[in-house]
Amino acid sequence: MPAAVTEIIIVISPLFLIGLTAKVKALWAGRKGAPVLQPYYDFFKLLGKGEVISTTTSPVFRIAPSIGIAATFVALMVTPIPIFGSFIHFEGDFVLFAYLLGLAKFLMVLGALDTGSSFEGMGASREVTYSTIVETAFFIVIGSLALLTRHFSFESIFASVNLSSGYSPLVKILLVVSLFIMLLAEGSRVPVDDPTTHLELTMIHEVMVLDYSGPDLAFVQYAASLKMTVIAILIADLFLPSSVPLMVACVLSAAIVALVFVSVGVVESLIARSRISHIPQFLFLMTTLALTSFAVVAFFLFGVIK
Amino acid sequence: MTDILIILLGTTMLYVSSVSRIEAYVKTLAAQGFLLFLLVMVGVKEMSWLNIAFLVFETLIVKTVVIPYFLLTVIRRNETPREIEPYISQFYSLLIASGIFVFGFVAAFWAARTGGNIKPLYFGISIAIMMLSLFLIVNRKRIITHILCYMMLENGIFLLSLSVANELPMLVNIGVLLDLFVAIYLFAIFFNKINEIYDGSHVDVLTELKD
Amino acid sequence: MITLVIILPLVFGVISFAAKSRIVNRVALLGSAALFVVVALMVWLGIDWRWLPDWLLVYFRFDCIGLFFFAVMAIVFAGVSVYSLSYFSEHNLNARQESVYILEILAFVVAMAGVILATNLALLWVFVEATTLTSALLIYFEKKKSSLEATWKYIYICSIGIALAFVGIITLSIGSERIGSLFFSDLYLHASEINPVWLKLSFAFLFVGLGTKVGVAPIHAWLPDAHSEAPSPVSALLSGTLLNSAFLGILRVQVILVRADQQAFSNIILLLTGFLSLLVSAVYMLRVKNYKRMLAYSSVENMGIMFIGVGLGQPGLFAAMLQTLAHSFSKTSLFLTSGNILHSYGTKKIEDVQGLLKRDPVTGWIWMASFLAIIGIPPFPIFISKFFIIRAFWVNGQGWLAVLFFLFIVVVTFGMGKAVFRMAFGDSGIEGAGSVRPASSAYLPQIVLLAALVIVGINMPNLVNEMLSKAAAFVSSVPAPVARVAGR
Repeated sequence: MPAAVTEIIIVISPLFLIGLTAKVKALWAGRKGAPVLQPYYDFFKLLGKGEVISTTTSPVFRIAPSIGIAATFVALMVTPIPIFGSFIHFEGDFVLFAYLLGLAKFLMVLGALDTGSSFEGMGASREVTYSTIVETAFFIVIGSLALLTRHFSFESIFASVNLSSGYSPLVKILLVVSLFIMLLAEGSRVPVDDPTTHLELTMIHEVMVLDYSGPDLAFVQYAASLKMTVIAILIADLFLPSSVPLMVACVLSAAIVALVFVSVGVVESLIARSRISHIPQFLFLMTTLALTSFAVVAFFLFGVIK
Repeated sequence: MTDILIILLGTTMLYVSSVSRIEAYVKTLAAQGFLLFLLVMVGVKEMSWLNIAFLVFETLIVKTVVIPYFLLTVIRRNETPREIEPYISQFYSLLIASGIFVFGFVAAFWAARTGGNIKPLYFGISIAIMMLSLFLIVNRKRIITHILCYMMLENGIFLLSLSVANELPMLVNIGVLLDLFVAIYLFAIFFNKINEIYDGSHVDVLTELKD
Repeated sequence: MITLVIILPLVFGVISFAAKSRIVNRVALLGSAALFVVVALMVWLGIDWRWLPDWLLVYFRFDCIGLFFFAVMAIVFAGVSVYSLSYFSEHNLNARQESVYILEILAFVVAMAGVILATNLALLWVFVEATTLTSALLIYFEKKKSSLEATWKYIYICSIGIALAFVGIITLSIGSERIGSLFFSDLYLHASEINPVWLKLSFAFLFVGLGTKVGVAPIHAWLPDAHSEAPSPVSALLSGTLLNSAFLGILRVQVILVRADQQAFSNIILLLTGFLSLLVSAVYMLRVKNYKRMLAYSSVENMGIMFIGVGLGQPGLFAAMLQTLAHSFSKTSLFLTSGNILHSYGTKKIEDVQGLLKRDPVTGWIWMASFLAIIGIPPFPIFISKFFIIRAFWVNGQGWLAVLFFLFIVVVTFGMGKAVFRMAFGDSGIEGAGSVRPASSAYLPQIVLLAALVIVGINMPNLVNEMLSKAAAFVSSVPAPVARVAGR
């Protein structure tokens, strides 16, 4: 029962978290800002609106948002929730996780190409370029964790990651940084992408969804924020100590997830969006950090360092 | 704990090879100095207090505060361009840097096998830092970045010399002294003369002598 | 006596810097040079001044190889300091500029003496660094734009090199943890206890670091720039002594490897870089346009020959030592003479210099004779050393390398000879023979050096032969007893 409640809370929370980020940015800039719940108002407003669909599009354009939101939901099922674990787990389920996110992205890209707009095609090509880098890095991150814990499913990896001592602090620092970079990239946030920009030339994710309206747009936005929440939960998994009471753990993990979103807001306030040509190296930094942690874990296991 | 600090030191070099602002280089230099200070605090035992005081002075005062501050003021005063102007693009630079970093781990593995009197990571990461600095030196056009990367090279060597600090403290001290001396010398020549005579301080201007 | 060598020149330099009087300047410069020569001579003959305090005896000592290099340096320095007098008058330096020059040059020479006499690897390293810093001031002495560029390259490249040499020292101390000392005597005695892998690694680093100062091929970039931009007496000092002292550093490390029976590794490195130096100098010699740079490339070539001699092991060592001596003397003579040419023609371009023999016969004939000395025409001793090296190739059963060696030497000789003859002969562009006549201090040192070379080449005095053989035996794999020559 508590697991189901947690899951429902997680399903509800993404829009709140996005609102939190927006609020942090507003306060940092000295504005009062929209209420934290503003994304909910937008969401329901969009759900109530009608749709305008370009006559040049095929059914792929229509189904892309729905499949995207469904795939992200299933990815959430695979994600280990702190303390409660995941609904679905089997050996190698992190591959499923990565490809569910990939599927959602793939359909969004197809939908963008389907409109025939050159701007959307450009955004799609950028999105695909960056996700090739991010996906590799994600597998190295999970790989080093699997090597450290000798487990091969999401749930058991994260259940035992806190038990091993010694090098885990270093590995955790490196992995958290890489996961945070992944969060910024997947969530299309500064410095990779600016969600508030309205210049098509510089946009990545936002330009792909220009043609969506009404409930479809609501789905796209919700799926994006849910994806960020899922990655934030992975970060919380890494941080959470294993032996704390249930209630403390719940509050703590919620606090960590909220903190991640606050820090997204802080990052967006502090640094500017990078030039497009500088983004690959920023993302590649994630790969390198993950590789470093992989090497450290390997050294640890081979007894080179104690 | 020392190993964590060493790896963080190594990752600062990766950061350096991916950024394009000169001020980020200077800040990294300061961060490296501070990490070295922590390493001295954690790693060095069996040393006389005078030696330790000297090392603290070198790392905390000189490497962390004085040199970066001096460089920052000079960069701001001279209104030199803020970009580092690499010869090859940042992405490939980071790619190669990662390769060198991996090589550092291989070197550490090798050092552990040969069984010298050293912690493997000290050796591997300092080799990686030195190679990365040399790579950045040949790959950056501005003379100021050459100086910055030379300081990073010195940091890598300082890291390596810390690994024998307990056995041969004299060696560390000599290294530190020379480091200071050369740094002052390079700065004196560079900022008083080169900047004055060749404006823009680009390596490409230094091509009068050739065959 | 060592105390005198290390401290007295510095005191002289400071006094002349403070006094700023022409007479004090000359006394300080020539006095230091005389001191060096006298000390070298006395140590050589085994005379000792027992009553002098021996504060520094732990850290500095004359051993047989150090004595040889010190003697070469003392003689070259004496020549250079005499020549400096004509440099002062030709360039109209005032007393203050003179005293600055003298302070810098004395500090430089003391630093080199420190490199040669140091008994500790770390101390040797410190002094090598000191030579970089002091000589950089001298290279920038004329304060031109191009000399600034040369100085910058020199300091930057050599600082990186010296940093890598420090890595070599650290790796050596990692490998020799049981010895726990960096004194050469300890390292030689316990060489077999050093972990061979770390020893090789340390040799590689030290070789790169000190090799940068030697100016051996892949890392010679600073050498032509610095040599061409420095004042001519300083170029002579750089080429005749600085390269040697760094070379001695490599030799001292090489001895560790020989004692540890790892010389197969270092010999390959020495031979490879030696041949690469020959190749580089052969290529550049054909296209170089500036005669001082030409001499610098000739230095690269000669250092390469020395490396080959050392890399050949026992058979080539005597030749390498003789080459060191002969190269220092003849290259000093060449650089000093190039100073005369530069003063009389006002250009460093080969194509703008013609008819040297007509315009200034003394300088012209010295220029020709020094050229013959550096390429090794009998009776000059480089002929002997090159001959011994080719013979050593055969002794080692590497005759095909000797062919390669000969080929490179021929190319270098052709390239250098073309330039030298072009400069010496032809129309001088000025009416009348012997229209320019330099001061006697501008050609006497060269004549003395060349005369000494001829004596060594025709009938080598027993004392010289003994010194060279002892120095060679010090490096060779035959574990000769470390015969300490008296020194205090």
